[in-house]
Amino acid sequence: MSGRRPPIDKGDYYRGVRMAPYDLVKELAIALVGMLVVVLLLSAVLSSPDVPSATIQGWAKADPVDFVTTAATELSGQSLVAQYGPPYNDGSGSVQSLGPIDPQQWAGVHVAVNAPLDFVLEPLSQATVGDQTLAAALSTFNTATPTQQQKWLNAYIQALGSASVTGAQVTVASGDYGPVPTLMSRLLGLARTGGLDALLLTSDYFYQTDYSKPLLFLGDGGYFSGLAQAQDLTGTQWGMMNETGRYPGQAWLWLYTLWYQIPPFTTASNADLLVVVVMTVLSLALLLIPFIPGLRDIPRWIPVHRLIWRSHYRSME
Amino acid sequence: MTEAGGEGARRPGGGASDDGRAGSGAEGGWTAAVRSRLTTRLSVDELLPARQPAYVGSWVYVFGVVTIAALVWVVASGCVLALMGSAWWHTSSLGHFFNSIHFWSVQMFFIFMVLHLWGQYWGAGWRDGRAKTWMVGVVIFLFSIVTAFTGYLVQQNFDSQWIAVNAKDAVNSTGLGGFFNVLNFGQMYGLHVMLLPIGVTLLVVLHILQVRSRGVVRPIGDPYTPEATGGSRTGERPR
Amino acid sequence: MGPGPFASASGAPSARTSPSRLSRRIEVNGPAPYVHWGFILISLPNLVLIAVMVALFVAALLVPFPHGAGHRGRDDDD
Repeated sequence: MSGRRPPIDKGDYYRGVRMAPYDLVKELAIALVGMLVVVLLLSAVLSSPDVPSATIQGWAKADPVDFVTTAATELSGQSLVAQYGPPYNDGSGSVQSLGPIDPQQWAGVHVAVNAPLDFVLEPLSQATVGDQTLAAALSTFNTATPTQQQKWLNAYIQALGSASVTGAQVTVASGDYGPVPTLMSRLLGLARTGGLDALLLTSDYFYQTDYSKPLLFLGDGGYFSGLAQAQDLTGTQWGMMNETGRYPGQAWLWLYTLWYQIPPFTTASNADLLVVVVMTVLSLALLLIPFIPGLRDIPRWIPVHRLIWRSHYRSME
Repeated sequence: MTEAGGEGARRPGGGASDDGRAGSGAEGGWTAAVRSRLTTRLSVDELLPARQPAYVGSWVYVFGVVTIAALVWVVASGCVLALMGSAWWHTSSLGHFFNSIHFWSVQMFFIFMVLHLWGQYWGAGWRDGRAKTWMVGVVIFLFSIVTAFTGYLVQQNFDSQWIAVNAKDAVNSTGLGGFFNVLNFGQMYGLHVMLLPIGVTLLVVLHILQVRSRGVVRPIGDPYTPEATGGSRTGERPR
Repeated sequence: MGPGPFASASGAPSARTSPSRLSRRIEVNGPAPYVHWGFILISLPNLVLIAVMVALFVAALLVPFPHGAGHRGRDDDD
């Protein structure tokens, strides 16, 4: 870099250059007004997207089988979130590393989420007031051995594959599920009232701004990704670039999302980390173009500049 | 009139009112050094000249100022949205309109910023000591992407939810997930309405000052040659 | 899906926030058409946006810039 040399004096730099009047302030004023007009027109005519947020209540009503299946999977500790790993818990299901480089693991747990407890057992224990059946079912479940709990849950989750919905109830074929059907039916009822949205958000504090738990729970279900699929927002649909409805999205993310569409990123379990690394390298390259031979010479080789400065070159001839 | 733009100009005999501390180099210590730097590189004449090199007469040069214009409306509409609270635009048609202004000015901002980047790339705008200007520009680009990202996260609608749930995996993979929690609305909101816009604005101001203090890079093929002599043919005032 | 926490109480989209008549004709909230070319899958709005950008850049290169008094190279002071 030219840090050592004193900066070139502008008068010196422009010596021999033909100067012309140029009203910078007027240019800015015109740009401001022109941009405002364009933006106001676009806003008035096309508005902006606002697809209402999904709720756990909406989920429980629209797809109770998916809701109950997800909840049971959370309780059994087999869900994506339950096995995720840092920053949520000590699992390893979603930990991405690149050889010995394992920043996700190194960073540790900072947003503690215990899926069976946070998504199912805690909210249910809040709801036992006046509900002896639920209290008893919870007690039965909590005092059973982990092996017994898993047996009930696995049998129930399997039976949910051919469940039916009658009214507000999810019904499965009879089997040995212990207290699980009661727990699930109460959770479903709680969700349908909107109570679970609130309970997942709550903590020891009055004010809430951290939606980690409700979002993680919602994200584990098929209902949520089904909504996204309908809006063309999923990964295989180049979703990162897209916006809901017919609005333009984030076109500037084209290169970021492109990698996910080509091998080896399509099948890599650490695709996210790989893409982050690739994009970091490319961003650094963009930053350092002035110092990269070849890249910095392309403008000289491909003379687009002859169009930019054509009146200048004409005046030089 | 203001001082001429001579590089390294020093006021003679400026030590009389200074405390005469040794070891600061220029007379008058740090204050005089900063003042000298500002008045030579960033005097009002330097910041707001009435003339530019004639080669600036190309539409490619307006992309930068149009990007600034878009940013002004992004910030202005954002201020209104922040003033009225994060839920306002979902229930008020005026609020939705301001959200639309914010949405479209962001689109315009990125469109013209990228066009400006293309123009600067094909003109190799980093030449003649302007590498730092290019680099600050790239940092603004990357910073803006992060700012926009936090913006999408705080819309409080389905799009926010979906983006949050999906982006978390990429952020988590870098180890930053515990410190930059895309599921934490409060954190993303504070970043989006205050910290990141301040960062972008400061960087843009720096970028503009860099351009104004160095002037517009000469065309490729008509290089600056320090030995070049010759009188001013152009009405440019001699030093 | 059920109404989000910020939807109007009746659950229906508020008439005050529904799109303008013209935007309804374009069905701005409907699914976007997509262009599928090999492994590239891009929404029409995004494609239009990128096409407009390229067009703007080419136009900026080709359209002459008004030079006004510049050619006369006045020597008056700033």
